Amino acid sequence: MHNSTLTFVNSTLVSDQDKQLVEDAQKDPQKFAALYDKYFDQIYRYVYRRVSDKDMVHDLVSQTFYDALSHMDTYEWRGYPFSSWLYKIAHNNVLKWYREHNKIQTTPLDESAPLKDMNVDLEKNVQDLELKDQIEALLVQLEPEDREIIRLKFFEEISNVEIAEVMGLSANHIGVKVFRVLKKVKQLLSL
Amino acid sequence: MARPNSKYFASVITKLIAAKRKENIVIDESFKMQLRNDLLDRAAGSSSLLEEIRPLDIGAMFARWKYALAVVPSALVVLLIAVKFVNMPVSIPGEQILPTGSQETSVSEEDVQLPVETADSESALVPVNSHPPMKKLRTFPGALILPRVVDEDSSLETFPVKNEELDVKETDVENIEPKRAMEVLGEVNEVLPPAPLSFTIFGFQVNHQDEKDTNDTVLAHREERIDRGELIPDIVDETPVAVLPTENVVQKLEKPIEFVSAQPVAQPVPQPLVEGGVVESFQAVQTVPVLEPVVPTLRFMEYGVDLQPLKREKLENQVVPSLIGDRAIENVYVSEKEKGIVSVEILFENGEKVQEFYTFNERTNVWDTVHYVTHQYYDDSLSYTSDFQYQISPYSKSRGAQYLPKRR
Repeated sequence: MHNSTLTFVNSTLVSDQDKQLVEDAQKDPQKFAALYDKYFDQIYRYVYRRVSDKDMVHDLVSQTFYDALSHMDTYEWRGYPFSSWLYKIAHNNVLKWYREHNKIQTTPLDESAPLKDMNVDLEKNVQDLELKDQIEALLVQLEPEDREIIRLKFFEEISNVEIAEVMGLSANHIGVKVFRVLKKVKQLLSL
Repeated sequence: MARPNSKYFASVITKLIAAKRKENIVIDESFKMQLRNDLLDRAAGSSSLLEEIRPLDIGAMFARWKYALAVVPSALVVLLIAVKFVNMPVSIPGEQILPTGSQETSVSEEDVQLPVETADSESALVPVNSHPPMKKLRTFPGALILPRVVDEDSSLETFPVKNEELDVKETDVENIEPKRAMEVLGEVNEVLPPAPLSFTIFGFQVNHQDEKDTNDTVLAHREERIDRGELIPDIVDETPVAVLPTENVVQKLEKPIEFVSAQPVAQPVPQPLVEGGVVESFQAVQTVPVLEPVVPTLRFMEYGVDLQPLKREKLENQVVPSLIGDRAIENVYVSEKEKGIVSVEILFENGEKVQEFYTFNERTNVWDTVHYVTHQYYDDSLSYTSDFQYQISPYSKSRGAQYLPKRR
């Protein structure tokens, strides 16, 4: 069942490539552009999925890469892909933005799709909604940490090790939490 | 435990992946290029876009170093205090300080608080010139000490403690305060003549008046000296002594002392044996009667209230002797003044009368003196009010012998 399995990029190969880029960027900040070109789309989508405002997405993405560039000299290669570090910076910036603006984290909407009223009746049977709407309604019911794990695991398609690096937890803990979240999602989907 | 990519979660994972693929997040390429250029400019040393968010960097630096900035001034303050403490001058005299005659010795003259004896049983350390502490006094309606009905059959006249024609003292409110017994006594002493002169020469006590004089002056001052510890009171043997009946006592309906003689007891007397062994008679032998004197009681006591034997004994052995002294009495009448308070009225042969009030102290098993004191004070309506209260003074042998002037 190919569609039902996730295909992860060879983390070892990616790591070796990132290591070289990081070393070059640390020696020459102008070579940071290579890392920027490689991971900008991922970071953009990741922030876009968590923040509903487009302008705020631009600000947060800009802040993320600026922080990464300004702290390149402090980055230490530990065998993880450079994206883990960017995801972590983006994750912290989004949380900071939510705290400063006293916002409630909501599931971002697809730009092409018309804006939906997020005040959806959660008691309504999710089976009647479209798949995307079902997932959105489902994620709203999860805890913020569980929601983040789902996004990072199945939408960003990063490994448990990288997720642990982003969230500041151990890889084993992330594995347990993934299992529990899937179990809960299965119950919510009544599957 | 099922693995996330196992068949157990296949349905869930399928939905999640499908939802991801149905996303249509469009990357803003213009923004992407603009940000790239800004980052390169930043990397090169200048950036128009990054300068807008530079305050955030300063904020990040402050957030990182704020604790360090707070520690520095605190450490400086602690260091400053420590330096001052270390540099405090400490002088240690090289020579031992010895008291010499040339040096003036200063004596601290702090206020000495003398125990002031109050009318109450408790004495408190009160400064000499301060006002006495106000204590709660039990009050009762003034009607209780109004003139009572004089019994025509009785030879004892009673006089009210309170006279309706009371002299009103117009004094300031501040000065009106409950007077203690000693203050009252002081005023009484002012009426008495001065104390008899007495001095000591070569260890011999010389008195202007004989100490054994029993007039009022000597008695009053004698008890003062006992209280001050200058004079040891005479030990009065209060054991009842059988008094032979006298004619006067008989006239006063005194009960003579009776000596009860015991019945003669017949004792067997050994009779000589008569031949034949017949005992003829049995003769009673008169024995010496055994005298059993009856313990005499106070012949002049008259009780108008029922008292327990212990209370009666204490009254007769302590209270009455302290009131009569060496004077000849005619009658003593004990009645109930109010609940818990008895009235002892003594009529002397010379016509003098004394009335005192006592209450029995269950704790010490003695009769405490009850003084009725008249208080005058201004109430809230600034009218002159008289309040009749009484104070209880504990029993004291020295004070019990005091003779207080007759009250009207």
